[in-house]
Order: sequence, then C-alpha cells, then structure tokens
Amino acid sequence: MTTHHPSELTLTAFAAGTLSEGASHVVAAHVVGCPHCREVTAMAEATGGALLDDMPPTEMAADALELALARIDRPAPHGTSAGLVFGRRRWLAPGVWITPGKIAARGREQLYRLDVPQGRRLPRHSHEGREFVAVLQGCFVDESGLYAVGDFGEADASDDHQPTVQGDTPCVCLIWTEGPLHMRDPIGRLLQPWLGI
Amino acid sequence: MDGRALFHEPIGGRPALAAVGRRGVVSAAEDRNDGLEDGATLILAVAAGDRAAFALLFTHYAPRVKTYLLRRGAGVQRAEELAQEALLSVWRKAGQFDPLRASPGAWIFTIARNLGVDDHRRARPVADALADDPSAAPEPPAAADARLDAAERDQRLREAVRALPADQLAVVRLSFFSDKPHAEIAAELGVPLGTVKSRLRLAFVRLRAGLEDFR
Ligand SMILES: [Zn+2]
Repeated sequence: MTTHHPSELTLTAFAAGTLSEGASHVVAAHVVGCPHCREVTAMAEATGGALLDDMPPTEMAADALELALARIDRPAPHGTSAGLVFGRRRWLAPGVWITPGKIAARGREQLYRLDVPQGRRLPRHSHEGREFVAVLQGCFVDESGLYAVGDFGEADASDDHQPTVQGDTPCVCLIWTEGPLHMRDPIGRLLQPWLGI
Repeated sequence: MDGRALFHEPIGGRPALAAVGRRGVVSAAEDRNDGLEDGATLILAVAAGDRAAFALLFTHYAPRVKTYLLRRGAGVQRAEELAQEALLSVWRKAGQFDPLRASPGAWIFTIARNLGVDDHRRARPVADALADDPSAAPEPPAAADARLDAAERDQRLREAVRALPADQLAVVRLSFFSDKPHAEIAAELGVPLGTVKSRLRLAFVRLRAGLEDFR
C-alpha cells in the first residue's frame, strides 16, 4: 500500500517535462505503479493541453506544411527512446552497493541505485537541494515514516535524516540528489570521500 | 467565413490547403481559441491516412507548439524544426490517440513536451517509462457520444484554466514553461516557497472541481 507520493508540485513538473533527467527517472519509477499519481499526472497533462490550446500562434515558415507533407512518409528518427541505463556497481560497505545511473547531469545532481542490507542504518545526513527516493524493493524507516515498495520520498535541503532498513530483505532504492550530501556524524564525514555521494 | 469556421466543416472532399492560405490572417478569435473544433475526429482521420485532416491539424497546432517550444527556451529555428517534428509525430502516432483518455491538445502537448525534453538532454525517460506500461495501451475507439463527453470535458478544463485567479495561473504557467526549481519560481514571484506550493494545490482543486461531473 503506497502511502508516500511525490508532491503535486513535483508531479506537475514531471508532467510539464521540466524536471531534470535524473529527477524524472525517480518520479517515473513511482508513477508507473501508482494509479493515484498517474491520475494527477494525467490531470496536469490535460492542463498542459489547455495551456497549449490557449497559446497564441507563432507563424511557421511559409513552406512549413509543404515540407511536412513531403516528409510525412519518412520513417521516424531513431534512437531517442532510451530507458535508464546503469553503470558499474561499486562496493560501498559490507552489503551496500551503489550503481550510478547514466544521465546527462544538470549541475551536481546524481542518480543512483542503492542496495542496503536488512537492519543497516545509514549515516545521518542532509542534502544541498532536494532528494527524491523511490523504493524498488524492501523498506526503510526514517524520521518521516516508513517507506515500503512503491513509496516515494521527497526531502528538501532543510531535512536532516537517518534512514534504517527494516524487514527481512535488503532495501533497494532509486535515488536522485540535487546536490552533495552533508554527513552529520564524524564517521560519515570521514567516509564521504570514499562514497562518492 | 473566418479561419475558425473552416474547422466546422466536414473534412472529406475539401481541399486540404484551403485553410493554409489563411494562415497569415490570425484573428482575435484564433488567439484565444476553444481548441480545434473537432480535433479528435481529425486525429482519428489522420490515423486512417487522411492528409487533408493532417493539413488542418498542422495549420492549427504547429504555430501553437512553436510558441510553446519558444517559451520553453528553444531558439526560433529550433522551435520551428521541433514543431515540424511534433506534427510529423502526430501523423505517425495518430493510431495511438484515444479521445477518451486525452484531449487532442493534451495529447499533442505530451508529444511536444517529449520532443522539447529530448532536445534538451537527448534521452527521454518520462514518456517511455509511462508508454511501456501495458495498462497505458490505447483502448478501443470511443463511441461518438462518449467523444462528445470528452470534448465537453476538455472545454470545461480550458474554461477552468482561464478562470483561475491570476496568482494561481502564474504559478501553473511557470510550472509548465520554466525548468527552474520551485524555490527560484518563488523568488521570481517574490513569495515564499510554501505560497507557490499552496497556490498550485489550490489551482488543482479548482481544475478538479471544474470537471466534477466527469469523475
Ligand atoms: Zn503516488
């Protein structure tokens, strides 16, 4: 049962196509399996359609339609539809693995899959900018509640949290961070250069 | 007969280019239109290979898609090319259009959006992640009266968008046309982030209320 969804602001940006690539992968991972968010997204897309219908026209080139009709039976340009591609998995700590997603990063954002074994507590941290998390497997708990498969976590720069994996399976999450993490405890700070997150 | 009235006529048997010659004349009515009168019928005709219907769709939507792409930050030349490409995608994908699921404007919006996103980053997760889902597959063509309902729903939504208070509409617009983080949108409007969030939430409450009978 999904209890944590992206904010309406985030879903609107997702539907509008204004999220960065990394952020939209994490939102998509949630929305695909969430009827509620699919409905909100469809509503936002319908709003986009209404805005498009109300858009003042900008004149096209005089031969635009002629050109289009001449090209009409050409095959579609290829190669644009790529799903998320992952790089090589890296070891972080016993049982903890990080697998970077290949994205055209904007600024210092990062997208990665994180595998954490059951019972493991991650270092307390905050972020520069936002953090999106989609739970792909297992569950974790932090100050804002329990996140199970299908849940979506959205944290702001102001949020300082310490996730702990619960249950008896490892937790796998797709995570996007807008900027670097800031570790809140000395060991985390010591480890951060090695973590690369 | 003005430019809009052309769209009320049946498509069959009319020379496709009749509307095109009028492109240069953009009346005030066109500026704030109520959508292409029978856009859904035109897209279904395009799915059957009707070039005259395509010409009408192109004439109506390409200039609007171009404006949309310009507002997203594309250069003039690129916006022209992408608007071309968007309408060619309409031709190729018309068979996937389901008038019960999306209005013509919403469907063309998602095509234009994906091209804009793609152009920006040369990879496209959003549309494909959703399109690959089997439950997103198109349903059987709608019966004519169901389509009338869909057309009324679209009309209601357009009216609800227009009726939004200016501050809410500003937030909706910025959400759609700027890829700035919401914190920057808030700074641009000179209001706290929480206000941006609550205005967007209020806007969606109003839009939903506008569609009440259709839920
Ligand atoms: Zn959801």
